[in-house]
Amino acid sequence: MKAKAGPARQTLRRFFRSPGGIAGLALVLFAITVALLADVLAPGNPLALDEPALRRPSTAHPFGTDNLGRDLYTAVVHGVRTSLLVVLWTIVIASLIGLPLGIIAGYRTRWVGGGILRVTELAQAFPRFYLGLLVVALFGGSTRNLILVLSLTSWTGLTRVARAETLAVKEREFVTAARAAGASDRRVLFRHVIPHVMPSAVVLVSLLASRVILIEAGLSFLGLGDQTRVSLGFLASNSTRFLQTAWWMSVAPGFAIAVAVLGFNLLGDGLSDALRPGSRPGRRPRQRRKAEEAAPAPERGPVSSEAGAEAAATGLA
Amino acid sequence: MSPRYVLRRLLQAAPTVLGILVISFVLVYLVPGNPTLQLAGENADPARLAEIDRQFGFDDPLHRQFLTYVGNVFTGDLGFSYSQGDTVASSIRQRLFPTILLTGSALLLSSLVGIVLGALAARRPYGVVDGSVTLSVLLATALPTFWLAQLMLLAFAIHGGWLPIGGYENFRETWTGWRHTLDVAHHMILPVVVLAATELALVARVTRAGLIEQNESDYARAALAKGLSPWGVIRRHELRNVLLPVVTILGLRAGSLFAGAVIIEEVFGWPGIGTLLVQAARQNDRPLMLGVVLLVSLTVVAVNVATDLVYGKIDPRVRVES
Amino acid sequence: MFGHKGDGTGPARSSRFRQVAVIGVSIAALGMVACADDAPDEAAPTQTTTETTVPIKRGGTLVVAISSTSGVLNPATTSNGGVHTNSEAMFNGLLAWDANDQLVGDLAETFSQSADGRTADFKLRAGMKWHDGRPITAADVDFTFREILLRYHSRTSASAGVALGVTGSGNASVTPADAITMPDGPTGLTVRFKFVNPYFPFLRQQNVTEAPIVPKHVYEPCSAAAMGSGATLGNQSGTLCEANNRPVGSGPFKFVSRDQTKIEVEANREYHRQGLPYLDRIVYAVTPNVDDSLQADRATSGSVDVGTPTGPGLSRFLNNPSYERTFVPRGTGGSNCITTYAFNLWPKGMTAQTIAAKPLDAPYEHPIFTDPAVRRAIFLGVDRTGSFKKIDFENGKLATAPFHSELFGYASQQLPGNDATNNDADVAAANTALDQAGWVDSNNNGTRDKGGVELAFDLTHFDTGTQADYGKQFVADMAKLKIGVTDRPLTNANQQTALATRDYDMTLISYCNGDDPVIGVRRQYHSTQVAPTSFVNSSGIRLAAMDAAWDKAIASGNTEAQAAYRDVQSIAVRELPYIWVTESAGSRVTRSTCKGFNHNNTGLFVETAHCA
Repeated sequence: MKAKAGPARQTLRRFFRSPGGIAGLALVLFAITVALLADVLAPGNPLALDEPALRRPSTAHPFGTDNLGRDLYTAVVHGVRTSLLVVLWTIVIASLIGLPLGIIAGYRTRWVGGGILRVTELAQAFPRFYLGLLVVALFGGSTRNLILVLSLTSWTGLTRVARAETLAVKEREFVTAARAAGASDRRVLFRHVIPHVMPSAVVLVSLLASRVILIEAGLSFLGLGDQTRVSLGFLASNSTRFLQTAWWMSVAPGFAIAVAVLGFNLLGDGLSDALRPGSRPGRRPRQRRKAEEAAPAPERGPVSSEAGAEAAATGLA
Repeated sequence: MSPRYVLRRLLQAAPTVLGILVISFVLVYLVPGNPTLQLAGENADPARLAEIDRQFGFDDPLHRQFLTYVGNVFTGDLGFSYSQGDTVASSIRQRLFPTILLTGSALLLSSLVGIVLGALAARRPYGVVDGSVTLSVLLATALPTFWLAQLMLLAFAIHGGWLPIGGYENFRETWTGWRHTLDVAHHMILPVVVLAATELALVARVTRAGLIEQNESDYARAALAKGLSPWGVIRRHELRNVLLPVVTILGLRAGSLFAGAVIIEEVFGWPGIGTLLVQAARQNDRPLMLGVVLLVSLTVVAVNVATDLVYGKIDPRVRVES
Repeated sequence: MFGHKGDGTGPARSSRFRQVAVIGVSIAALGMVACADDAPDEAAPTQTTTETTVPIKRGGTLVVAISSTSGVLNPATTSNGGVHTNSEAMFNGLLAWDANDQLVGDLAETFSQSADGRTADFKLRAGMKWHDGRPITAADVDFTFREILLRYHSRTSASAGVALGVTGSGNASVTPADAITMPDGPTGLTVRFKFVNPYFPFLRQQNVTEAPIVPKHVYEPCSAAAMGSGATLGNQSGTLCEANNRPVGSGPFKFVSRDQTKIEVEANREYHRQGLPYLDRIVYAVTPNVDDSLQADRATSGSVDVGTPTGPGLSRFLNNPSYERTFVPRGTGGSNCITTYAFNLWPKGMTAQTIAAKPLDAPYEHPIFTDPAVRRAIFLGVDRTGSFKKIDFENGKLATAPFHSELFGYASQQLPGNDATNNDADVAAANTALDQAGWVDSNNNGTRDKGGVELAFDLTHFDTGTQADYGKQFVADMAKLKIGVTDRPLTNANQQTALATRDYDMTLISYCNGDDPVIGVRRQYHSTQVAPTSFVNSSGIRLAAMDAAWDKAIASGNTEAQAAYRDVQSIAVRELPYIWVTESAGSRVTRSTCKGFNHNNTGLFVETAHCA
């Protein structure tokens, strides 16, 4: 990794110069902390219904209580944990599937690569939310099912990015030189390809996280989520009946979701900016040419979901 | 754009379609649990259960059921929905229009507003306008759809009283013709705005990025040097190039729009296939669930193919990668 | 304020049934029909009436808020409140309740019951027509009872069915030929019912909720008579009988259309009550998310005229001078309803047929609920008062016995945890009892267990309205006892299927007692009521002593019956097959400019309504 020391530091420097990126990182770290320390920050059972019902926010109940006597602060804190749990597992599994596939597809383009592309296209064709709805409706809304279906539909973006980056690196001079010198495939992979893929993958992962949070919340909102856990989506749907009488019931979970999603989006954007100053032209037009290991501009072409567009995508799908 | 290109693109989509069919079928029909019981309902005895199995083909071997199913799909027979008491195709048909209306309008609105915002932001990149536009667009997308819907409902319909509190049309009256159209439009405002708001970010960003890149290009600089205002440059030279990335991401947006539509329809009580799907999910009505998911998946594929074809027409430099 | 109304109109107290007070029994269910089998929905009786000085304006459309349009539109095939709310305006019963809560003829011109209670006669009005123009005759009454009510309507079949000597259940039930006869032939207008034992409650269950009459020529093709065991008429989750989607009735309103947002009905200008209805049209409109706040808002904005809010929505209505609130004595789901948890005393999934084949008093076989200490501990652990406050918003009152407090034969009981002043849950006592019974957490997984069996089970219930909240509350209550409960909220149809197949460990039902214990209570306790249908003997209790008490009550005069009912209740409290939580009540809210509602007449409350 010695070859990357300089660029890495440059990347970091660029990242910390963008307010959006820093804000995003802060929000994400905050969310993760809340999730990790849920039991400390909000001791008590989030499913307990012991508090007086429909109380406004106060010192005793910072976010108020809902109609059944749930303390919303405890519920929201644990709800954040549920959301991030789903996010974490989904990312891990999607990465474990998508990245290797993408790298292989980029490395061996002919038959294997083509086949992987086909499968990727197919997996991508499914509207993710609908498939998630179908699966939890049929198989039950457990967290495990949710993670499974989300990760099995989310790996495609990572595959595309990994493939694109692998293709780009493969043709670089130092790689061909290394191979000419007799370096094994595996060596090339680990020393050059993977480090090149990771940054873009991280960007995508961050944006993927925000989408997963929204999908999980959406499914819980529809009543199809995991009934045994507190979910922000469920809290939100429960609040609809009391929109006017107890506005705080809707504010707390909605706000929590928004903060987490915003954080991941900003973080992803910030990273994307930092890694590829050339891909967001306008900042330093003349220095664009000096982009070091910047990947080539996202492939143009009749690909409905380019790597770039994929990275820019937000929303539920 | 040659016929060969069209054909090749269509053929490319075929395995995807087949794959969707297989996966949907596998999911729905291999799920543990007994749809026969649901169909039979109460007061069913073993004879009745067996008859239902026969009638719906549940006692056939799985591959035979699949082939029958695929055959049926191509003739438009998507099975029978026991929760609606009607065929799946008919149930979907009745609810299709409101969803098309909702997603189509949201698509248009978000495209228009997104392009305008993107253009605004691109005028002076990293300036104040750009920053605020980017941030607000980001915020709009970060807000969960249902929360935004609830807030808008609260603000404009409940407290403000200017807009109806959900629903598709006025319950009381039986308007027809243009009065009815106006009524539906009135009811449509909030749902469309909320759905479009969640979509804005992508369009705005893509437009902005595209425009900024164009601004760098030689002819734009030349035009600017000639004295054209930035707006003028945009208008005269770049509209086609502005539209190009927007069209490209259409496929992506289709999926996102349909997903958002489910939640919007639930919150606003909009009678489309989103609420149909949720109802079917709650009732465990598998044929209906399958029908809706298939329809939406195939629509997204179709949109993707269509955008590719359009893209190919707009930008003749493009060659298809195989 | 519950109990009898001041004026106490109606039959004398010594009569077989108690007059139901105008205020009192109500049905909450937030107008979310989805509630329990008989979740009374529209509820709340109020003191309306006396609009004598208001001139009656004809015409106009009434908009009624409902929770869902799904389900069959045939009220004879089920006791489900949702179905009834959506369809009752299109039908009639033989009799009805007038605005003074008196029993009067509806389809029947004259009616009587013999002094010994063994026969009941009805003579239909001449010249009545169904919505499609065909005449209403005795054959329709005969068909409705034999082929529908006595097969599928849980309350009627469990009460009148037994009295008429019906054997079997569902598609296989058989009504004796002489139980129902038509003295003037099928095209005549007279019908006679003959009971095995004296059966006095019969007249009081002749209304559109308990026994609506439907046309034979429309529904016969789907019946068991025509299709045998494959009959689809009673099918609730399949609507495989097309006629169930396009109702043809006799009611003041006839079916126009139904879609997912509303059901439209229009005035029946050939209605048998001259001059009625006043309204032109009724739209039953779905309020999204069953949100009573939204109901209130829609009412304020003028888009809804009649709603059934509870809690926060209700209080906003009360402050709104444009609306009036009424307590409803009987709802479309039934009257005198008690929210009840049921223990399945037999293994989950063991069919009703299997259970019914066992001898009476056979020991229970459920791995957990066989232990009476567990049942008692769970009863102690349920926060009945909390549920009443938070979920029912204190509409109604806490249950104090297996019978509803307004019901004839009610005898106040000492329920577990009820110390006559305070009905709160006694968690400490429950935990101690479980410890003493040997249910301890031996493997330290947070849940008690005994002999290798974890104290964990599931609870099924409707997924909307108060029942959804009850489910969550129950899970939380049981968690305090270290009991693991899996909450299973189900749609209407799925819950009914679960009940029919006994696929539950515990279930939540709003059992509507009806106007006589035989109508709505017997089905919960009698051994013959363990059947593959919903809303009957969900616990599976089968005790000889219990059956004997019921049989005695049915065959006796009032005083012996009361003694027998006391036995029923004390046996029930001793055995604890159920947990009785609240006697739910609710309110119906109507726009002040609309008058003439007869809230006593369940779904036909719109029959005489008019709006300015």
